[in-house]
Order: sequence, then C-alpha cells, then structure tokens
Amino acid sequence: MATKKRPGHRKNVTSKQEATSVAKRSKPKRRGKARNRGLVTRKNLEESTTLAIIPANRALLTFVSIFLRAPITSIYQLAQIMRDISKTQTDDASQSTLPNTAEYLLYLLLPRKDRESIIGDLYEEYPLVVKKFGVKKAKLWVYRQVLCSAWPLIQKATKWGLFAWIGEWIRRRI
Amino acid sequence: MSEQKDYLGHFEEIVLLGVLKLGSDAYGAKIRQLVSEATERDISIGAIYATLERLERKGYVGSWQGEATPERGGRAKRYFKVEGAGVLALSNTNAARSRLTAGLDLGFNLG
Repeated sequence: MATKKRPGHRKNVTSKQEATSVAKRSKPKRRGKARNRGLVTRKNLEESTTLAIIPANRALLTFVSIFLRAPITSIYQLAQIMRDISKTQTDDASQSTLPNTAEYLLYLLLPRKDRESIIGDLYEEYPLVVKKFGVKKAKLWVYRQVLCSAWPLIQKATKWGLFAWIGEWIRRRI
Repeated sequence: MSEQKDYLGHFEEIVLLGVLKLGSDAYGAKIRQLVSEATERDISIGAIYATLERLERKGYVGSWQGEATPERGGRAKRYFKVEGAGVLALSNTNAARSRLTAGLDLGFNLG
C-alpha cells in the first residue's frame, strides 16, 4: 500500500540522539525570543539599579535567589523595592514633615481662620512624636489628630453654616 | 435681682486654666501638651481650638497671630491670653464648687 508523503516530513526522526540535538538547538532560540520581547533580564536590572555595583551585593542576591529558588530578576526587583521603601522612611524621619495626605485633609476640612495655626502646631509636634515612637506610629498619630480635630470643627462649621443657609433662604423669599 | 453669673464647662475650665498657666507662651501645641499631661488623655488639637474659639466668642480669651518659625513649616502661631471676664468666670465656677462641696466629706481635696 502506497503512503502519501507530506512535504517537509522526515523519514527517520525516531532516533533519540537526533531528538535531543533538536531540543538543544531550540533552547537558545527561545531565550533569544524572550530577550527580543523585552522581558526583564538581570543585565537590564543591573543597569537600571545600583545594586550590582558592589560585588558583595551581587553575590548575596545570587545566593538568596538560589536559596529561595526564585529567579534572580525578581530578587533584584524585591531588593530595589525594599531599598526604595527604606530610603523614603529615612527621608521622612530626617525631614520630619507631615504626610501629604494628612495635610491635604486638614486643608479640606479646616476653616481658613484655623488652618495655618493648626497645621503649624501639628508640624511642630510631629518630629517629637517621630523621635519618641518612630515614623509609622507618628503617621498614625497624625491621622488620628486629623480625624479627631476635624470632627469638632466640622460640627461647629455646619451648625453656623446651616444657620447662614436658612438666613439666606429666608432673605431670598422676602 | 442679682446679675446672672457666668460659669464654665468642665473642659472649658481646664483649657482656660492651661492658658493661664502658660502665660505669654500659650499657643495651640503647648496648650494641647499641657492639657493632655494634666488630664492623662490624648486630646486632639481640634478640640482645643474649638473650645478656645467658644471661649473667645464669650469674651473670656483673646488671641493674636505670632511669628512664623521654620520648625512649623513657616506657619504662624496663634497666641491666646485670658481676659478679665475669663478670670471672673473661673472665680465664679470655683466659688460655686466650694459652696456645693462645703460640709461634704469626699475623702479628697477638690482644690
């Protein structure tokens, strides 16, 4: 019985040696494709971060990646993130300024008359709290102050605001 | 009929005493610290300002803008001082308390 031959179909592909050689040949091709796709590589990371300048850093990160069985690229990324976080924390501690969100909330909630003096008072106390309890707890303290400060002042503002609104409504009707 | 006397609320009295004690250095942060230490409670700066504004409306305290300092981010302080009406209100409140507690054996001194 005659068999149809497909174009490109090889006759003897069953030998193991040939199969492994094909696999070996295909591996570098895949790597090449990954590089072309613009994936994060160690070389790219090393260039973008300053972590690999010190050889000890490079050795330590390689050891960590082997120990955790994680790709070196993710270890580099993790190290960079941790470094950024610690940097921002030390910056906060040295500058001792209020968290931006807290200050913005105060600007939104406080009446103009009290705004400057209340924010100034918190500015003055914040470094003392940082020194005593650390940045994280100091931030918590600030947000607590913001929420507790806003409530009595909003109560006062809305009470007088309501009276003003009723007065305006009556004036327009008359 | 005798003139109606003014009395202070509990927190108003504490804040007014704080302002009196601090004298010329009485501004928000200092008053908050002193009152917090005295009452052993963490009092918010907003509560202090709300009370001080109420007292100011009643004419018990006066306020003025102070100097701006770098440690406050260039923001000015607002200083407070007790007016004569405030001292009178404190005196009235204290006198009322003394009359009420006269002859009572509480086991502690009300001051």
